[in-house]
Amino acid sequence: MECKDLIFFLSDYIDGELDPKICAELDQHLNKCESCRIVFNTFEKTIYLFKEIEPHKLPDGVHNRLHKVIKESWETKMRIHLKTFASNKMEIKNKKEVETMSPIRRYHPLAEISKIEDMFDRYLNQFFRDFFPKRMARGELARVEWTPAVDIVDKGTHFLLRSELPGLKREDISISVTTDSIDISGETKRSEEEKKENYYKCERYYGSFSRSLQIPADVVPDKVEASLKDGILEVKLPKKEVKKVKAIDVKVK
Amino acid sequence: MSRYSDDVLVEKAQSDDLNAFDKLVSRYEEKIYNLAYRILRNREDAEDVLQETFISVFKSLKKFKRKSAFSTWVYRIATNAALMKLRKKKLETVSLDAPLKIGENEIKRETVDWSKNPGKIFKTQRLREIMEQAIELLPYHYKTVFLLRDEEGLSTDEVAKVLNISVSAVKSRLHRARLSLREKLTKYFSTGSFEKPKEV
Repeated sequence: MECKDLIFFLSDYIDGELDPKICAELDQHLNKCESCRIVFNTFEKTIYLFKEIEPHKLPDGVHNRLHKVIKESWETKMRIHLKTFASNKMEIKNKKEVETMSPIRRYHPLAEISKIEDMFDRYLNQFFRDFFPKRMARGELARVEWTPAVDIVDKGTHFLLRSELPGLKREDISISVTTDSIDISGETKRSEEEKKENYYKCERYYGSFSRSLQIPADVVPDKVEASLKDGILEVKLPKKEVKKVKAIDVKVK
Repeated sequence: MSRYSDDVLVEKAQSDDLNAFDKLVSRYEEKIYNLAYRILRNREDAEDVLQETFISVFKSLKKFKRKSAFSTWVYRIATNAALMKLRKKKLETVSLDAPLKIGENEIKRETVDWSKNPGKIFKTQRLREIMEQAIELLPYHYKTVFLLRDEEGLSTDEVAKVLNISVSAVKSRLHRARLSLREKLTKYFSTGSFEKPKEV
């Protein structure tokens, strides 16, 4: 081994990841070449010094501000959640709907293969979602995960979001809003009766869905209202007028 | 401080336990702050990245499937947030992939073994500043690998997952970052100064 080779192997040597044969050659070289020994020593010391570099303590107030922001986001999310479901507008008329249960899986000898198929479907699904309009990706592929179509309209004082959620009950939908984003998620289920039926065609999608959307301007999460009617979810997102200012504690000496 | 594992706390937080989420945040806030600070070298920016990271974590918490470690996920969100910040500030006019210039092919004959210097020399505030400046001067892609691997102590595999690059890319960037830092420290110890190269 020559001096110029040494430099390529230094990290692997120190991390103990070097091939034993090269390692022995390197040891041998280090024994007889003083200059390389110095390179090695200083290299090792460098790593050691940087590992030991003392972390900065969080400056005053950073911890409190962070936890305050998180608490606020958390509470906002919870309020929206409760508000949406307490809202009279979302009352569902048909209370006789059959209770749903998780689907019973029949034993399938080729289960492993179908798992791979599922995985493949998911990737393909993602591919279609990326490259084609939402509608085209539906059908068979959409059974694994589906994405509801969404419109967002600027109504001046507020944004109006409409989303197609056919066959969903309000209990199945969860909405959370921050000042600049909205998440809608939920699950469509087949009823027990439906599951027992003999299918000739089976195209309707069911399963969980989730959409996160950026809202083009800041809104007031507290004043958001949601309603569900005839399979259309409407969310009214009032705009915030003043720009947000980050609270910074100032100490007066 | 609770001794619950990250996994347990994540599970609790996912079923709407704010307390558990707070504990997770407390566990990582200082690490993320330091990572962000060393990338951006500015307190306010580091705090912004810290807040953005945990708000993102909070927003996507329910979607986090626990296929990777929580820490890996948090580091990934944080490095992305820091990168966004850098881009916004346009601090880096050169490409993020700019090759790191180190005298790899022409090792100078070293005569001074500063690693044998008396211990107190290494404990000065001045050296710490020098070292932080040296990290700052690394190109972004080398800096993140170095900070996660040598500063935060993540494994090579973990770093690869956080940055979504191959294990061999982690190794080579880490190696080049270390070589570059050694050169800078050598310069500092042999000349007593550490010039910041002029920006190109």
